[in-house]
Amino acid sequence: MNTEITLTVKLKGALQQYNKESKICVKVPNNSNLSTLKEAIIRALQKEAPTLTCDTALIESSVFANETEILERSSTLKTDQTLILLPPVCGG
Amino acid sequence: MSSNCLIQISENKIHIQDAFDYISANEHGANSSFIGSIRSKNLGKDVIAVSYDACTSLATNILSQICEEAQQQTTEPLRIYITHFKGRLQVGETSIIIAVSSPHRHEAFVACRFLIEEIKKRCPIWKQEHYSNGNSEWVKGHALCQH
Repeated sequence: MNTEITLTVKLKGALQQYNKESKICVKVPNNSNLSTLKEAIIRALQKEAPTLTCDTALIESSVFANETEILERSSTLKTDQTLILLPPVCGG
Repeated sequence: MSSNCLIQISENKIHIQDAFDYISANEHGANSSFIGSIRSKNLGKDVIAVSYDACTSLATNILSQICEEAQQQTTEPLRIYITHFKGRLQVGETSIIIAVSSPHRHEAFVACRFLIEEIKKRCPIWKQEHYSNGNSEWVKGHALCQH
């Protein structure tokens, strides 16, 4: 049984400035919650672009979604999957 | 999605007439619309263009939910058309059109206002402004609600 899972996280809006491909892959322990995933993303972005000051407040105010819905705060991560990290929105 | 609601995230130029063609109905005497376009100034900066990024599938789902909520607020029937642009626009070009028809004006006005306010707060769309000095900046927005 895998003790770690791999998440591919697409970065939207202002988060794209931290990664040229607008996506990042991170490994987290199986059954991690979304807070753990955010911490892993911050560490990974800081490692990839150490000269950029990672806006942790922006990431903290972002939420995770899949292609169809925003994930609930209590969600746990059990399988390798692709998610989207959505910063504050400003359509219109 | 309701058969009385048309929702699109489009990379094509928005045509206002398409909206009015869609919401037109013989039993509806009121047509209300909101048209958003790119303005040349924001917070004292000279804007020359705006790029819109969107999660198309998720945005379409959320727009559909917002349309359902608009309809639930009235017993009068509504026809709703929403198209939001994705991509880069120059100053003066149209970024969004919302059009609503109903038998009477009050419901059309209320629904149109509700739709644009909810889109600004809930729809996964982002804009990056491009300035005359060559700089670009993502616009700060509303944090999405997570249950």
